[in-house]
Amino acid sequence: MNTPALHTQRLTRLYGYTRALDGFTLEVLRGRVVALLGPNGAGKTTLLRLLAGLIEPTEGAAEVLGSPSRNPPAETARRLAVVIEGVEPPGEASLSQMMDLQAGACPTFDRPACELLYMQHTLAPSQAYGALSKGQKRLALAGLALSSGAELLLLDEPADGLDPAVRRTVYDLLRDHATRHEATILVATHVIGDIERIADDVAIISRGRLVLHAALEDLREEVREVELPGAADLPDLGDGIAVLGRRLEQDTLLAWVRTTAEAAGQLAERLPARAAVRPVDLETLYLAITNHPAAVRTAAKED
Amino acid sequence: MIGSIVPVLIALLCVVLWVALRQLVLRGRSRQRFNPANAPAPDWTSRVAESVVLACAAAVVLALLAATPWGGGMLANLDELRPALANLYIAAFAVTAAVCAAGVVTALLWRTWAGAVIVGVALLGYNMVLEGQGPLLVRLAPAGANLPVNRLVIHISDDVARADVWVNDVPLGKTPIVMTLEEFLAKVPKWEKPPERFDKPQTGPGPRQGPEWIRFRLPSYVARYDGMAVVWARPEEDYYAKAQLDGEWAVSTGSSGGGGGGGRYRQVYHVTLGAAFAKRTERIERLVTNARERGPVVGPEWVESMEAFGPQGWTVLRGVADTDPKLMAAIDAWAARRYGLDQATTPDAAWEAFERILAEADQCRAYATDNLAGRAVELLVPRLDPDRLVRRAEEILRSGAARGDRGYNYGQAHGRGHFSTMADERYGKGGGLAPSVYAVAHAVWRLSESMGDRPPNLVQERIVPALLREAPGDDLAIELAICLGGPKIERFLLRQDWRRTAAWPDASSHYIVFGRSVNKWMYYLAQLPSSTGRRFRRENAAAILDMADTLIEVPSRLDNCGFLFLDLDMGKDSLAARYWPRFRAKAAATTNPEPLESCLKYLVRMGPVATTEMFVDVWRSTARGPGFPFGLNALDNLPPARRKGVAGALAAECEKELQALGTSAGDEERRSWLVNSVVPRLKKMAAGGEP
Amino acid sequence: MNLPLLRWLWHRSMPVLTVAVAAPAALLYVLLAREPLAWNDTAAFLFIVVHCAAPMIDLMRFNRPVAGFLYTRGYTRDAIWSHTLAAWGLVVLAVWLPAALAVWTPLRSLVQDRVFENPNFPMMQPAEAMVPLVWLGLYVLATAACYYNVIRAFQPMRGASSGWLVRLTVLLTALVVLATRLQTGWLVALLVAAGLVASVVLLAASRRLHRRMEVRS
Repeated sequence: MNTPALHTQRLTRLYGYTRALDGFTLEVLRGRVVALLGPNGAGKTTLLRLLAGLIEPTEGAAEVLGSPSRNPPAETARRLAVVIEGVEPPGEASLSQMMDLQAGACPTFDRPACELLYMQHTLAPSQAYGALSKGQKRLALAGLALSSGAELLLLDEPADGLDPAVRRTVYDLLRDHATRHEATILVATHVIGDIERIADDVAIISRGRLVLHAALEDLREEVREVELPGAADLPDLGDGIAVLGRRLEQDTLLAWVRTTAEAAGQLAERLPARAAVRPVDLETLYLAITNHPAAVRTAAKED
Repeated sequence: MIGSIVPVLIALLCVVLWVALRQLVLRGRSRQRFNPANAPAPDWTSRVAESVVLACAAAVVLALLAATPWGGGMLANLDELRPALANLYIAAFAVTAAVCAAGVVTALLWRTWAGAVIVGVALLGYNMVLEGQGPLLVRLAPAGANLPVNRLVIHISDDVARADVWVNDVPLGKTPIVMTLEEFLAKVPKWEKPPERFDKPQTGPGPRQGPEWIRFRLPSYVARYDGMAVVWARPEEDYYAKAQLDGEWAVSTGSSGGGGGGGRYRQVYHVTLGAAFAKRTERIERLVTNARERGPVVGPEWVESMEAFGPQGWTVLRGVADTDPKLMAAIDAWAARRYGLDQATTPDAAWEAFERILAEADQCRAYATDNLAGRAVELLVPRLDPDRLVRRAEEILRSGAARGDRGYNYGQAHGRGHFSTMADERYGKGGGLAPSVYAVAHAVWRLSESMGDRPPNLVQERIVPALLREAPGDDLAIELAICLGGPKIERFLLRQDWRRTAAWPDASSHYIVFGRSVNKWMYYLAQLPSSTGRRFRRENAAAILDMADTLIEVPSRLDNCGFLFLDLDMGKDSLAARYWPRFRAKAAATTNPEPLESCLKYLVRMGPVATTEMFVDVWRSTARGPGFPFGLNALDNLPPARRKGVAGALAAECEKELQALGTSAGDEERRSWLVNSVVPRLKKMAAGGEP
Repeated sequence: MNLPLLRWLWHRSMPVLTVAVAAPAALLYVLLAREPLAWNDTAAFLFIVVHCAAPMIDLMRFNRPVAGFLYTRGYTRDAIWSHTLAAWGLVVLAVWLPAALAVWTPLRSLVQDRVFENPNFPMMQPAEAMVPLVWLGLYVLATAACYYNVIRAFQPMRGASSGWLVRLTVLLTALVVLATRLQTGWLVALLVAAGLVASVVLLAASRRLHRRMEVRS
C-alpha cells in the first residue's frame, strides 16, 4: 500500500492578519516527485518551512513520513532533507564542516558522493560557504540534501542561479535519487521546463490555497482550453468537468477546463459550435489558474 | 537602601528603556508581523517558569528588606521593639509578602508583566516605608510605640545578688533589679527632699558604717524618639535606696554611679548602688585571712564558702591577691577545684576542662579575663594542645564573627590582652559574640605570649593572617593582629603605602587619633615593639617626628605617641631625645597643663636618657608659683634611687635660687612659695620618702 | 554527545572572542586585581552579564539563516538544545577555568606577593577560594536567563517579551544583592537556593519551549 510521504490537513498560517496559507490540504504519496508551482507570495516557502518544522501552523496539521512535522523523532528527522530559501549556513563555515554536521545527523550520509559532486563542480571542501557564488551555494546545499539518503526532500528552487548544464545535472540527480531511493520530493520552482523534466505531479498554490494537484500526464490529457467568442460565461458543462480558470478578453471568453476521458465528449456537446477547444501547456495553465482563477475551487487530484 | 543603589537604578532605567525601544521600535513590529494576530496565550511551561523566577526574586529582595539592617525591616530584631511597633513591622512584611504572592499568581494565571509590576510596586513600597532616619512605618506607629525600650538595671556594688532593695520606700525586689524606666517612674514616687536621717549613720560612727540611705541618680540622659530622630532628654533626679541581705542592712559608701546606652530601639541604663554589707564583708575578709594563714592549700569547705558569696567574694579576694602569693595560690586552688583542673593532666583532659569553661561562659552569658574562669584559662593554656586551640580560633574567625561587632575593648586590646563581655540581655546585648569566644581569645593571647617572638609562633603564623583575612580593612582586627605581632603582620604593614600623606576621605590610609589625621600605616609601624619596628623608627625618624608633631597638638596628647619612648637604649639618637626640643617648645606655649608638669612627665618617660641636668634646666625655665607644684608629682613615677637624685638636684637648685632672691614683693612671694610648698616636698623625696 | 554538532555549535559561539579576548581578560583581571576578590565583585558581575549576553545572542539568533540551516540537518530539537548548552558550557569553561585555577593555585597569590608586593598576599588566598564558585553560579544563572529569554522570544504565542522581563528580573535582583553586600549565613543559603531553583526551572522550561520554538530565518 502506498502510504503518503507527506500529508497536510487544512493547514493555515497567519503572519499578523495576513494568511500565508489558507486551509491547505495536500497529500503526496511516497516515491512521487511533486513540483510546487505558484507565484511570489503564494505560500510556497511558508509551506516548506511548516513541513520542515521550522514554524508552527496557526491551524491544521502536517505530517511527514508518518510523524508530525513539528519536532519529529530522530529517526524521522534524519530521513528528511531540506533546502529552503533563506536557510543557509554561516559564511565562515567550510563545506567540510557542513558535511561533518550533516554526517553527524544522518548515518546514511554519503560523504564520498558529496565530495565527488563538489569536486566535479570545482568546489573544494575547505572553501568557505560565504566565498561561493549564488549558484555554487545552491549546488553545495543541494549536494548535502542529495547525499543524505533522505526519503523525503523538500527543496525550494534548488537550481536557482545555476547555469543550464549544472541545472540539468542537479535535476538529473534529483530524478536519480528519487528512483534509486524511492524518495519523495517536493520541489518548489518557477521554471516550467524543470517541472516537465523531473516532476510526476504538479501542485499549484495561489494565495495560500491549493488550486490544483494532479499528475502531469493527467493534466496533459484532461485539461483543455476553451475559446468562446461572444460569450460572457460558459454554459453549464455538467458534472465531471471542472472549470479551472476563465478570462474575458473583450468579447471572447477564454476558459480552462479539466475533464475526464469519459466526459470529453460531453464537453463538445455542451459547448456551442463556435467554441474552440484545444490542448493547453502547463505554463499557460499555470498562468490561467493563478491569474484568472475560477470562482469555485477545483477538486484535488484523484487517485 | 535606595540611596545606595541610585546609580544602579538609573542604569536599570536605561536598560528598560532600551529593551522597550528594541521591542517596540526595532523588532517588535517585525515580531508582531511574524506571529499570527490570533496567536495563543502563553502555555503553562512559560507561565510556571516565569512565575517561579518572579517568586524567587521576590523572596530574595523581600528577605533583604525585611531581615537585614540595611533593609530596615527589623524582622530579625523584633525582640528589641515594643510589641505595638513589632506588630507593625510584621504587618508591613505580611502585606508585602501577600501582594508579592498575588503578583506571582497574576503572572501564573494571566500575564508575567502584570505580575512583575505588582511585585515591583510592592517591594518598592515596602522599601519606602522602611527607608530613612524616620521611617514612614515608624511614624505610622501608635503613640509611644516608636520610643526606645528604656531598661533600667539596678545593681549593688560588687554585684551582690539577691539583696532586697527599696527605692523611696517602694520595694522593687531582689538585685539585680531589671525593669523598664516607665515602670520605675510609675512605681516610685519622687521625693522633693532627702529623707530624714539621710546623712546620719544608723549604726554609729566608723569608716565602714555610712548612712543607711543610698542616694543615686537616674542616668542624666534618656533616649527618646521624636518621630524623626533619637533625642536625649531628662533632668537629673535623686532617689534614695535601702538594701538588705540576709537580715543585714547595707550602708552607703557614697559612690553610687551609673550609665548606659544602646541603639535606636533599645537602651539599657545601669545604676550601681554604692553600698556595702559590713558584716558580710567581714566574713569574706575572714575567709581571705584564713586562706592566707593556711597557705596555698584550701579545702572544699573554703571554696564552697567563697562561692556562696558570689561575685563579691571573688572581688574581695582578687583585690588583695595581687601582692600576696599565698592568696594567688588560693585563687589557683579555687579555680582548679571548680573546673577540675587537677584532673586535666593530658591534652585531651585539659581540652575537656577548657570546653567546660566555655560552656559555663555561654550559660552565664559573661566572661572576663580577671574572673575565676579567666584565671582557670590561664592555668590551662600551658596544658592545651596549641594546634587545637589555634584551630578553634580559626574556626571562629572563619564563621564570620570577626566581621561583626566584636565587642573588644579597644583600649585594652593594645597589649594587655584583656577580654571581657557581658552578653546578658539584662545588661544590653553585648558585642554580638558568644562569651565563650572571648575565653578562646584570652587563651590564644596567652598562648602567643608564651610562645614569644621565636618562630614558630602558631598564633602569629595562623591567627594573625586569619584576623586580617576575615575582616579585611577592619582597623580593630589590624590592631589586634599588631598586638599579637610576628613577621606576617610586620610584612603586611611594611607593604602598605605608609609614605602617603593621608587625609579624609582617603579611607585606605587615613586615620584619626584624637581628632588628628595621620597615615595609619606609619602610625602602626612606629609602634611595633619588635626589631622591625626599631629599624623602621630608625630609618624614618624624621617622618615619625613630624607625625608626632601632628598628634601632639597639645602636650596632654603625649599618650598618643608612645612610640617616642621605644628604643631609649639609643640614647641621644632615640626619638624621645630628638623630639624633646619640639615638645619643650609646645609645653612652653601651653598653660594647661602647666609646662612644668608636661616637661617633667616627658623627662620621666625618657628614663635614663633624661639627665639630672635636664630636670634642673626644666625647673629653672618653667617652675612658677604660687600654687602647689603639682608638676612635681610626675617625679613619683621615677625609680626610687633616681627620684632621690633628681629631687636632691632640684632641691639644691631651689636653695641656690633662695640665696639669690632679694626683698622685693615678688621675691618674697617666690621665697615663700619655695620654702613652704616646694623645698619640703623635694627634700622628702630626696630623703627617700614615699610619694 | 554528538561531536560534529558540538563542534559546529562551538564554532558559532564566537570561539575567537572567547579564547583571544574573554579568557585572557578574565585571567588578567584575576592576576592583577589588587584588592582581595570578593563574591560581590562588580567588575566580575558585569563581565559575566556581558559575556553571557553577546555570544549567546549570536548563537541563538533564530531569525538568521544560519539557525534554519542547523535546524534542518536532521537533529532533534532536544539534541540541538542540549548541545547548544554544552557548547556554551565549553565557552564558559574556557573563560572561567583559567581564572579559577589562578585563584585556587598559588598563581594569583604569587603574582600579587612577589610582583606587586601586595600586603594582602599570600594570606588572602584561602578567603578567595569560594569566589570562583560564586562566579560559576552567576554564569549558570545568567546562562539560564539568557537561554530562556531567547527561546521564549521565538515562541508562536503571545507575550514574547516576557523572556526579556525574566532576564531583567534576574539582573535587577542580582544588582540589589550586590548593592547590599551582605554575607549573613542564612542569606547566602537563600541566595543559593533561589539561584538554583531559578536556573533549573528556566533551563527545564527552555528545553520544553525549544521544541515549539520557531526558526524565523
